[in-house]
Amino acid sequence: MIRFLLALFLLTSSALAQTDTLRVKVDSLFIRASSGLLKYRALEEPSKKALREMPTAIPYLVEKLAIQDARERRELINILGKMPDAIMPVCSAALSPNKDIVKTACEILSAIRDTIKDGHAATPYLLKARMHPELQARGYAVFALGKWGGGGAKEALQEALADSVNFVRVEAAAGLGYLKVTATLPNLIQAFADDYYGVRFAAANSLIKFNNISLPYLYKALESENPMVRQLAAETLGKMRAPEAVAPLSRLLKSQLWTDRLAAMEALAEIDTPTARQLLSSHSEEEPLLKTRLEELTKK
Amino acid sequence: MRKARLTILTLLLAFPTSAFSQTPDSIYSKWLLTPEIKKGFDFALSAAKLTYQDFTLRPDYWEVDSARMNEINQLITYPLTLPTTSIEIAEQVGGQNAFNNFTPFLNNTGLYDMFLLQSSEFMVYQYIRPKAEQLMSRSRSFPSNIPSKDPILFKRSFFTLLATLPEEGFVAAYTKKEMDFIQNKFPRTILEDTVEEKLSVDELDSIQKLEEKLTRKFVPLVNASRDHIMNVNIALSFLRSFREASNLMGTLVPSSGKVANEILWEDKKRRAIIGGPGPNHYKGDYALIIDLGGDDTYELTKRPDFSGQIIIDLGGNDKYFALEDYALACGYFGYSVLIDVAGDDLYQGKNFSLGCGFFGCGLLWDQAGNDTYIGDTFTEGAGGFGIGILKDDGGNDRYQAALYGQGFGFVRGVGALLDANGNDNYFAGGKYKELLGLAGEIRYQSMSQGCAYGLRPYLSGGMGFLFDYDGDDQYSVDMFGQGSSYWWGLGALVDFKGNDRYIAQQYAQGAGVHMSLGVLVDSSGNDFYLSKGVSQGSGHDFGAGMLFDLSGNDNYVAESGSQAYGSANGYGIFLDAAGNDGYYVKNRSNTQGAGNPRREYGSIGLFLDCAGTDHYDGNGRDNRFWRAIAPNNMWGVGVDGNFGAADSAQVKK
Repeated sequence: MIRFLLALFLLTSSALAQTDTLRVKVDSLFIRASSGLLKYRALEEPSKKALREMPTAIPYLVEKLAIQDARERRELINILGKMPDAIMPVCSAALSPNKDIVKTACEILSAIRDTIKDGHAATPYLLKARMHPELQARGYAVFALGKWGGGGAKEALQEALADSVNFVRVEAAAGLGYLKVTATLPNLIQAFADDYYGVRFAAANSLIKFNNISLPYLYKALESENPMVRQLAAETLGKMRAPEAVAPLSRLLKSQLWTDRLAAMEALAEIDTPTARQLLSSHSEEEPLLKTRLEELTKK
Repeated sequence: MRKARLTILTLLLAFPTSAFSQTPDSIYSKWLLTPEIKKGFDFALSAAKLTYQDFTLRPDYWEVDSARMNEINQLITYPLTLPTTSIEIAEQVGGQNAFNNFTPFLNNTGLYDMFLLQSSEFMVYQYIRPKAEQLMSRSRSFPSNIPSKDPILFKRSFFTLLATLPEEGFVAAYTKKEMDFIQNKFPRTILEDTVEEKLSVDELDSIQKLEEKLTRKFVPLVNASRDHIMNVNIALSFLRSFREASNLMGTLVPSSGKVANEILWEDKKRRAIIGGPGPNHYKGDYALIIDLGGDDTYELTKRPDFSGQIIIDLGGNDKYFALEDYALACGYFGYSVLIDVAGDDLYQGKNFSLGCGFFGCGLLWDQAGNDTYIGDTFTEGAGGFGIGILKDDGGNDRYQAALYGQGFGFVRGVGALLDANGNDNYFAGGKYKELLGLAGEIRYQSMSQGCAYGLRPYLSGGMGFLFDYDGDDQYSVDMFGQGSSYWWGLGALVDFKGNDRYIAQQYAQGAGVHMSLGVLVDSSGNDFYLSKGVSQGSGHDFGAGMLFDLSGNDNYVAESGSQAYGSANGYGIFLDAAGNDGYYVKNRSNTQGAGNPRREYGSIGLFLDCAGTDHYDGNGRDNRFWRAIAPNNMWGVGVDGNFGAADSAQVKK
C-alpha cells in the first residue's frame, strides 16, 4: 500500500513538474513576445513564432484571456489569432461572464477566421456573445460574426446596425462587408445616414467589398434626398472606379449644392475614364477653393 | 446637526458620475471662437462629409471607474469644446482674486462648492477665532516691533492663522496598515528608477506585475466614498488657512535688516516661528513660518503628522531646499502653502514638491522676481487625489522637472502651473528613460507641461494645466507634454502672449492618447513648434488632440503623425486662425489632415488655416483644400483658405 502510494505520488509529482515546466516556458516566451521593450524587440517575433508552433501552449495562453494590460492583450490576439487549434477553447471563453475575456476572445475569433476558411464553428458562440451588455464585447462579437457568417449572422448584424451604441453599429457595418449577403445592401445604404461618421464610413467600405453587386444600390442612393447619402454614394462609386457610374455622377455634378458637386468631381476623377475626364474638363466652379480643387482634379 | 449637514454635503460631492446626455447643437456654437473660424470649419467638415455631431467620444467606451471626473466625461462627449473650455479656465484662475485662482481646481476634484465655503466661514467664526483668542492670551511675549501697518491687527491675524493649522493629521479615512500601504508601497507605481534601464526583460516584467498588483490593491482604497470626508476636511482647512494667510499678508509691510538668524517669536511645540528681516536659516518641519525679509535659506522636511503648513516670506533672494520627498509646498494627507512675496528665489524640491497635492492640497505662490524651480517627480504644480498649484506672478523664470510636473494631473487630481508674465523657460525630462521606445528610439519620459495621466486600465487620469499669460517663452519636453494626456484625463497648455517656442519629441502639443484629451492653445505671437510625431493636434485611440494657434506668423515642423492626425479612431484637429505661416513635415502620408483606417473604419484629421499667405512642405498648399493620401488615410482633410480677415483682436483674448 505504501509502495503504491509512493508510486502514485511520484507519478503525480512528475506530471505536475512537467506541467509547471511547460507553464514556465509559455510564460517566459510570452513575456518576451509582449514586453514591447525596444532593447529586447529582437526577441518578440521568435518568441511569438515559438508559441504558435507549440499547440500544448494553448491552454496556458487561453488562461491569459483576462489580461488587462493593453500591450499583452494585443500580442495575445496576435499569437492565438494565428493558431487554428485554439478555436474551441477560445469559443468557450467567448461565453465567459468576464467582459475582458469576451472582448479578447471575440477579437481572436475574428483573426482565427483568416486561417480557417470553411465552416461556421464559432458562429453559435458569437451569437450568444453579441448579447453581452458591455459595448466593446458586443461590438467585437458582431464584427466576428460578420467574418464567420452562418445561420443567424445576417439577422444579428442587421439588428446590431440599429444598436443604440455607435461602436456596435460601426462593427456591424464593417462585419456586413465580410458577410456579403446581398439582402443587407439596403441596410448598408441606409447606414450612410447614420449620425456617426464611423458607421457611414464602415458602410462605404463594406459596399466596396460587394463589388459590382452594390452598384445599383449606390446609383439609387445618388438620388437620395439626404445629401450625406448622395455624397457618400458618389465617394464609394469613385473608390470602386466603376465606369458605369459616370452617367449618374454627371447628374450630381449639376447639383445646386456645392458639396454634391465636389463629391461628383472627386468620384469622376477617381474613375478617370475619357468620359469622366471630359465631364470634368467641361465643368466649372466659381468658389475659389472648389475652383482650385477642380483644377487639380482635371490635371490628375 | 452640523454632522448631518456635513454628511449630506459629503454624499452630494461623492455622487457618482452622471449619465451622458445627447449632444445639443447649441454646444458647438460656443467653441469656435469667431465667425471666421466657424466658416472655415463649416467648409472643412462639409468637404470631408462630416458634421459637428460626429465629434463625440463615448465616456462609457471603457468602464467608468471611481476616479473618473465628470468634467472629463463631459469633454470626451463634446471634445470640440476643449479649446474654449481651456481658455475659460485659464481666464478664471488667472485673475487677481486669490480665491478665484484656486476654487475652480477644488471644484474639479469635487472638493469645493459654495456650501463648502460657507461651512469654512462658519468654522472660522465658531471655532477658529475663539481658539485664536486663547492662543493670543497665552502668548505674552509676542513682539511689538513687527513692521506692520497695524500691529494689533497683525497679532490677531497671526494667531488666527495659527489657529487654523490642525494639531493632528487628517488620516482618519484609513487604518494604520492601509496608510502604510498608500505611503510606502503604492508610490512605487508612480516613481521611476534610473536603474530600470539596465534590467533584464524578466526583471522589468516582474516590476510591471508588481506595479499592477499594487494598483489593484490600491483601487478599492481610493474609492471616493471612502476618503471623501478626509479630503473635504483637508480642503476646508486649506481654504481657511489660505484665507487667513492672505489676511495676515495684508497687515505687513516689507522690511530689510542685517541681523542674521533673528528669531522674533517662536512656539516650539506648535512648530511656529517669526523670523526677522535679515538672512535667516530654517531647518526642519515647521508648521508656520513668517519671515519678514532678507536672503533666507530653508531646508525643509515633511511634516511628521502630514497636517498643515504655511510659510510666508516677505522678501529677499531666498533658497528653498527639500531635504526629502513630500517636503516643500507639498500637501500630503494635509496641505501646504508657501508664499514668497519678492526676490529672485531658488526652489529645489525632490519627489512630490513645489506645489504638489498628493492626497491633499499644495500651493507654491511666488509673487515676484526671477525664480528657478527644480524638482524631480510629481512637482511644480502636480495633483493626485487633490490639487497642486505653482503660481508665479512675475519675472523671467526657469522651471526644471524630471517627470510628472509643470501642470500635471494624476488620478482624481488637478495640477496647475500659472505664470503671469516674464520670459520663461520650461524644461521637463532628461532623467527617466522611456524603455518601450515608442518613438522608435530610446527617449526620456516627461509627462509634463499641461499633462494628465491615469493608471490604465484601473483608474482614470486627472487634469493638468499650464497657463502662461505673457512673455516670450520656451517649452521643452520629450515624451508626453505641452497639452497632452494618457488615459481618461485632460492636459492643457494655454499661452496668451509672446513669441514662443515649443519643442517636443512625441505625444505633445495638443495630443490625446488612449481615450484622453490634449489641447494646446496659443493666442498670439509669432511662434515656433517642433515635434517628431503624434503631436500638433493629434488624437490616438479614441483620444482627441487639438492645437489652436489664434494669431501671429508661425512655423510648424514635424516628422510624422502630426498637424491634424487622427489615429486609431481618434480626432486630431489643427487650427491656425491668422498670420503668414510655414508648415514643414517629412512624412506626407500621415500629416496635415490625415486619419488612419483603424478598426475597419477610421480616424479624423482636420487641418485648417483660416487666413494669411502660407508656405507648405507637405500635402497642404496655400489657398487650397486637399485630402490626405490613401490608403493610409481615409478621413483626413486639409483646408487653407481666407474665411474673412481673422482679426486677432476679435479672437477671444
